[in-house]
Amino acid sequence: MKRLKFNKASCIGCQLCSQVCSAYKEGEYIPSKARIAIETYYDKGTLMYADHYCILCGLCAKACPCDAITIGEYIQVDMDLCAGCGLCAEKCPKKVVKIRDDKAYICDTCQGDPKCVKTCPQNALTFE
Amino acid sequence: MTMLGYQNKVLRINLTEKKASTEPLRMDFAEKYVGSKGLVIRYMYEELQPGIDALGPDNKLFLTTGPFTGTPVPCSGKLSVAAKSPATGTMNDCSIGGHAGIRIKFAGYDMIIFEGQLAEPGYVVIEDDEIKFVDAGDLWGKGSHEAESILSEKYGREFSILSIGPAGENLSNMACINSDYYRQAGRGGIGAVMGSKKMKAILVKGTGGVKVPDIVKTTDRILEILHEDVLQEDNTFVYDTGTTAFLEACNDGGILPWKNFSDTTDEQWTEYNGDVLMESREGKRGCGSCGLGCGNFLKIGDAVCEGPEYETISVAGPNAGIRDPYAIVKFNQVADDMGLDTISAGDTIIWAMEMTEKGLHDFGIKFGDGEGMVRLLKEMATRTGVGAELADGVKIASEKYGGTDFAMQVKGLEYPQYEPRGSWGMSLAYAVSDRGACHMRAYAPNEEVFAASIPPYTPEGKGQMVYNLGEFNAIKFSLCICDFWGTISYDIMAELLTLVTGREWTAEEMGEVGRRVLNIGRAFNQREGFNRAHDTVPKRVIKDALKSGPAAGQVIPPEAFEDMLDQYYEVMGWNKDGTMPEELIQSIL
Repeated sequence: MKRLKFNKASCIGCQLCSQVCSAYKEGEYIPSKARIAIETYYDKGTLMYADHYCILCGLCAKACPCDAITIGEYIQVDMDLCAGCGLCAEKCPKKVVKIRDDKAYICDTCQGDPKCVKTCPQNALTFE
Repeated sequence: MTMLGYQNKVLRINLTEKKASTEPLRMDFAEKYVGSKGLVIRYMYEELQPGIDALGPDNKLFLTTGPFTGTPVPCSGKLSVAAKSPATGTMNDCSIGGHAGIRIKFAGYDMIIFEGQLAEPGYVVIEDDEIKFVDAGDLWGKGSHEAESILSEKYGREFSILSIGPAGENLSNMACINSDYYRQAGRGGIGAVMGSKKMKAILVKGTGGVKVPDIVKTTDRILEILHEDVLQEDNTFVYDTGTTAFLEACNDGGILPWKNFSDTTDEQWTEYNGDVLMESREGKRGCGSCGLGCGNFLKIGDAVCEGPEYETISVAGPNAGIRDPYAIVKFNQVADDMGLDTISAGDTIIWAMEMTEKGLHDFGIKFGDGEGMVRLLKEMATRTGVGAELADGVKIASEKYGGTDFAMQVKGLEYPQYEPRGSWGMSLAYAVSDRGACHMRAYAPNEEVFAASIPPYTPEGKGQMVYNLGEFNAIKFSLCICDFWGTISYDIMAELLTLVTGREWTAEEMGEVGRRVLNIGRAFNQREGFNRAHDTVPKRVIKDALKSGPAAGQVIPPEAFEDMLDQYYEVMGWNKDGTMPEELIQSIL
């Protein structure tokens, strides 16, 4: 199974990944609704990295009481079954699951062809 | 009328009354000036009455995005910060990187206008459509870095923070505005305008989005352009070395200034060049929507900065007779924290060094004194000690103490770090720039020195050359595209603008907008009384020949400078005295 990998040494914090993710998933440029959120910032004179992206660990599927989440080559959420309880978001170690309007939104790696990887100008994101 | 790509909304904040309101963006202005730089100059022309005090309640501080802001159009994360300048009395638009511009757009605004003045120091928090005014008594007097750190801790990193340091609070003509710690709206005392409004900081968080007509088609094409045009060698050098690369290019071209522009070229430039500085690099950082990542975060001992950029290396290095990388980085760090523009503050200090060495006035600092530079930065920002005499820049200091011949400024804005005797067109670019000596209006060394496409030591063709460069930057920056996407063309600009807005734009129209932007800046200044008499060159450049380097022997004869001015005015359709015909002004409104 291929997974997203993030090499922080290459990241410039441009957030093009989340802009492009939201474009294809939400129909507008709206990073607050993207399925990936990678940013860099300064804290007390140190350059820091926040890397919220799906590592396909499967904890969301295990936590789901509705069996709405299945993992094959990528994650699928059955929106009819999802109750929006938020347990998946709670368990997500990368804090990348978003609950909105009582539904869970999780990265599906664009069904195995992630646009964020195609976007990343410095190859900080890979799919391997 | 509304247009996609824009939020079609302006947030107007009255600081005197602590009230906020929204109104539609003037789309008639956007049609002619697109966004960012051009749009805000048109707004300033409309809203700032002639003759107002730049530090009074009638001046306004404008934060302006463009249609590309918030989209993945590469290198579009810059924000225009503008007001009438206290340093020059002209209009002044600055461009700041970081993430603030994108967050303003996601908060739902194309533009934020701050009017009036707070009665007591405060800061403004903008979270989508919620606006708060908060007391800043405990932050007033603190360095910009400490203030941003405290606010970031309190509000979280989803907020972008624009802040001023003590220099802005104390209304220095050289005060800048900082964001993301190390990015600046640097020039013309823009930080003093914010300080005059007693606004220590502006915080912005946005959770909304930007809509375009066909998002899949637009995004697909943007990604093609990103990988095929932006990420090519002509542009990616900024990731490898940032602007430190210019040091070698300028030294080799004979335009790296030495000791307050008294000469050029330093044979020992490799002691503080990019290779040396990059050894201390800890990480890379770009602005929002960038693809290139020019920022070099580096530490040398206790000195930390994102940079230093070429301008700062030059002014705190060879132009100050200094070759110590630590001293350069420390100067950069303290200037940022104090909220001082490194170019203007640096130029003023190196002038003081020359004054002292020549025995004209003792400012207690000589060439080579890195520690003294840092001391003076702190004094200038707080208007204490010797710094109090220098806090308003080299024009005002030289008018008081003499040394105007080597006070390197135009209209009260200090010279950037490109010696014009080695690039004659640069003297014209500095002279006709609408905010005083600025290298970002028309970057002559690109043609005259780096590309060597036009002979540097002649006035011939320089009016047209400076116009062409200026027109290009004027539209590029009105699209809030970063300078470092050097390969962008009018065709690409027009194609992207068409995709994002849904209105058909042509490459030809890009040039027309650029020309209009140059004209509206001039029109603003004309109303303030500016004309040919203010399009000047420092005496040193027309009197003294360079002694060293590839441009040794060069001096710009006064008649050559006047010739270049004549050429430029003719290209622009202006009168001989540098004024604009009334019908030209009317045609661009």
